[in-house]
Amino acid sequence: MDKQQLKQIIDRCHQRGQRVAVHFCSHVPEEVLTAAGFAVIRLTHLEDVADISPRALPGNLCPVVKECYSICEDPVLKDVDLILTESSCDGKKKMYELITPQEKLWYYQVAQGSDRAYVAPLIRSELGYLIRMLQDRFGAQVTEEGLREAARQANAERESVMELMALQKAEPPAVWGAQLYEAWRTAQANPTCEERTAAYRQQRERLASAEHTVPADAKRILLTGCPLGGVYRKVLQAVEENDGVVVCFENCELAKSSVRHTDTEAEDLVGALAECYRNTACAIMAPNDLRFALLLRLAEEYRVDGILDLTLQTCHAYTVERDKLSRFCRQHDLPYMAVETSAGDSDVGQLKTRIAAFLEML
Amino acid sequence: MSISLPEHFSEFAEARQQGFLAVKELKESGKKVCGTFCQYTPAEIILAAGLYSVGLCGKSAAPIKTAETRLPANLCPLIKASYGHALEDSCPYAYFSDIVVGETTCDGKKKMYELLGELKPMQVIHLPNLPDYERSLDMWITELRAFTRGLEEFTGEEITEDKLNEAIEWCNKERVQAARIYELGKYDPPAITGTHMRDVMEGEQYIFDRHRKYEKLKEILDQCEADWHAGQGPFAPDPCRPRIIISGAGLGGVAEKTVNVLEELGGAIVCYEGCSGISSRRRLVSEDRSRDPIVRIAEKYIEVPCAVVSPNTRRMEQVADTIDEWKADGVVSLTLHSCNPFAIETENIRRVCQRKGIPLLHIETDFTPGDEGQIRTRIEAYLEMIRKKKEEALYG
Ligand code: SF4
Ligand code: SF4
Repeated sequence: MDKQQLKQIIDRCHQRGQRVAVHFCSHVPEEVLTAAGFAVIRLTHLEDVADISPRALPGNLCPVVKECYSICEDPVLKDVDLILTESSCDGKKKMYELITPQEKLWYYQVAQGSDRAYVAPLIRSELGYLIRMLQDRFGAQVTEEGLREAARQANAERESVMELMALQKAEPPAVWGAQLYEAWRTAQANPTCEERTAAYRQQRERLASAEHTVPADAKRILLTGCPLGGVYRKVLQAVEENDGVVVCFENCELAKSSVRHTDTEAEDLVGALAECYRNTACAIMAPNDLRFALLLRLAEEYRVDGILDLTLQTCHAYTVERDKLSRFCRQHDLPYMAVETSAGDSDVGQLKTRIAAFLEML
Repeated sequence: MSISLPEHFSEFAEARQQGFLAVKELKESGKKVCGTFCQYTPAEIILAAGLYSVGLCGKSAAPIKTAETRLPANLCPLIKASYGHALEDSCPYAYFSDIVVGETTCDGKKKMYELLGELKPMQVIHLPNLPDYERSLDMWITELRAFTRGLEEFTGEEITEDKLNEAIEWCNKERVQAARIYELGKYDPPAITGTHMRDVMEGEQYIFDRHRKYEKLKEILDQCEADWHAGQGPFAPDPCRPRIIISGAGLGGVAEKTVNVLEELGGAIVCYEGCSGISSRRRLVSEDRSRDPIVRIAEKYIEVPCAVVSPNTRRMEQVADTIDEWKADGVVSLTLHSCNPFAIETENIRRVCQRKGIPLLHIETDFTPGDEGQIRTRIEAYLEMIRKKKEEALYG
């Protein structure tokens, strides 16, 4: 998505009388916004936004944080109705405080673990505060039935993402990881849950009948780590130009957010939603056992040959977790390698060399 | 004059070295030691559990190499040094700690604790991300209760309300005393140097006899006041001397090349702001014994002015107030390499300073030598600029 497209989407939603919320993180409970009648856009990356982060942020920050800041300060967000921030990693949560003006923001609080007694009650209470804010600020009503329906839609969307990715379970995988990711990106640019679900399904159809060009001996790679944001191109290229193919994206954009599920039949729906969000296998959770379990499961399902852990500079949540993850992979005989990158092209050569060496070893 | 000041200050300044023996003796007498890292650690609960607490924040570059076998190189030196010490058993305080308490403060630390937990018995307390009574107090109380239970299981002894109440009242007494140190900086010229303030704050973590420590410190503070009134304070009167507030956290390993240099070059550090700064010392835990002590402890600690919470409006208000109250001419923000929360928050503090019309200097450094020269030059220019501004205001 680029600025022009985003602007069109915002305008289109407004024309049909729909408010628009944007956010930047898998921890944000989109269901509540959907139930309140909002279009919801998770902005993982905006193609042509000008990097204005040097005005306010330290240079060594992770590129995702810098980009979020630049997006929030860009005139393109002038017309959105709500920016939902979240206290996930240090970089993001502190960056949000520098955005001016602050009036459009709502600070959603994320728990720092999944295995503690406080977590479910905290999520539940944060959902409550969010609902109240939507009512106070916008007069938007969130009914129990509306929330249930939104949760059903969100479940369907998540399933459609997992089904899209499941194309790669085939041997050889149906398409290149880069094709899959582009397909995901195109569909993800839709502003509502239902539109996105339909788009993912469509993309799946399209790719399923596309020409199969991945050779049978390509090394099957599971990509894990930080959000891919603006670095996906160079990373996927480095893998796929070196006899590898990404079969599974165990990151924020795809699997991490989409393996979650809400029990929409539960009597206590808010509790079920809290349970869903508690199950986020993200490194800001300490400990993050869920990620290890998820990774193992996906590695088996997608019969992967190697794990590539991609981290972004000074994303301490993911970089510090590398040590544990590498030991875990060794323990399970999964070849593992970590690479670190940032925005820009200066490390393309180095990335290629390192990734090629890893792939050769497999 | 009965006591000589430098001697008493040096007792605090050298407490970390001397404390090695003290902690060994403690252990030999069967006492249990609890290692801590952070101002969010509720001292009251540890005291009520009958444990002796000791600060474990790394301050030296030596263990960093070892740490980097496990941790990314591009991580704050405090985190690496703290973990490195435990990994190579090179810090007697970490070595003698029977239990270690960590908090989910910054990402680096919270993730490092997962690794530290493989080496040491640990209790990790989860913090709220949002420093808001209404939205976060419940979860914070839940965590403090879990922590209390954890310590009870560890020591095998109940932490009764009485014990907590006593601990609360004692820690308040210490807090009032600690706030007095900073009050001395309000004098014009200040009645204590910022370097001595630091020596005391750093050293006090390694003196285990709380009552003796209290008395010693009282003597020092009384003496400082008496000296000042007798015209013998540490600073000669100088209406243009830049009065500086230091802001930041985890300064132990970098104070020499920053704090000391600032004063050597003619500035006066009048107050510290940040987790071990003034605002933490000023607010006490409520002593209303009719209310649940854990709730009262939670109410106080949710206000720790650390950069890891967001939005941190309260800290910004406190910075503004501290500037006014201490009549500061400048704020120096000291941050450690790749410390995201404090580095980013420095921008917000800069905006507060801008509104107050005073300059902010941001120094980012780590525990290794090499940048002293550059830091000195920047401090020099900064102080000169402030001095000139004051001279112009005074003499036209
Ligand atoms: S990659 Fe890491 S530092 Fe960057 S936004 Fe995500 S969690 Fe934060
Ligand atoms: S200095 Fe910053 S990164 Fe280091 S431990 Fe403190 S808050 Fe964390």
